[in-house]
Amino acid sequence: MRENSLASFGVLSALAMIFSYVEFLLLPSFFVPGVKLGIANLVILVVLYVLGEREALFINITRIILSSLLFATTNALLYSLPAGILSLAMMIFAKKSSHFTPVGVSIMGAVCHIIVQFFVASFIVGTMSVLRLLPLAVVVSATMGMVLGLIACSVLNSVGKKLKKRG
Amino acid sequence: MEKLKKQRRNDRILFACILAAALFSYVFLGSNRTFFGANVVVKSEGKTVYTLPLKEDTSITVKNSHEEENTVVIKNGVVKVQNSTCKNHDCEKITLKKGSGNVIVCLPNKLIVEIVNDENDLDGVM
Repeated sequence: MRENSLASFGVLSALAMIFSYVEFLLLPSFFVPGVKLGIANLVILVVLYVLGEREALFINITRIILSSLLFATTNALLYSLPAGILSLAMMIFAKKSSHFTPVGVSIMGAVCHIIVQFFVASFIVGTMSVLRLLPLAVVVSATMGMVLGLIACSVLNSVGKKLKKRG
Repeated sequence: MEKLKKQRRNDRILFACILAAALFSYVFLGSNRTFFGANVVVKSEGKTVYTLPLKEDTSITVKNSHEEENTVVIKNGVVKVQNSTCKNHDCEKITLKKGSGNVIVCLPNKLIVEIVNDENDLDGVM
């Protein structure tokens, strides 16, 4: 790790955690049970494009562990860690294929995230009937993924180059 | 810029595919629609603890092994969860009716409430 990127790591991890916290404050979920805004993923998406895959993975894991320890309930880590890692893997795959813009990559990540979370939930509760809520949740999270992807696009267009130069 | 156009098109195709898949699974797989002779099944920690007829108005309190409680209320064919000891109270926002093919989940307390066909009621077989 280059030393000048260490500072970017810290700042971006902090930013991702702040977004997690904002999300936690808004938590009583808005449309469908189980679906959140996912604004923390905005940071991860920008990092993925500006700094690279390893950096995105590192910041994502840091964010998930710290924010679930600080803000969330006891077994939040159980839901968010597998979902976070798998959805990032999906996003890296989607980005590497270079068939999609950040919007498509973000949609992939959001949908993957919600699907993994629902499977973890059905495993924890012990019945598959939880999955019956999945279709609606997928629609909402795909829409959220699209919105965040559009925001990420405009962020990348305006500050992406500056960040890259420093990082 | 030809590439960007292609990528944008792929984004749209992806989004449409996801919506189509969700709609398909909602219509054909997900919803266990019931119209006659329905029962309300209450599951706690993966085990069925109560099976109640939807027709009768009742109210039961379910306690799990961690002493966390939810009250399941059936009134006029509508099922609700009240007085949950969980934090988010998501489970209190959903109501179940016959044919809605929905399910109430209280994730923190590991409680599931759903409406299923009464297999003993022959009128209910479609």
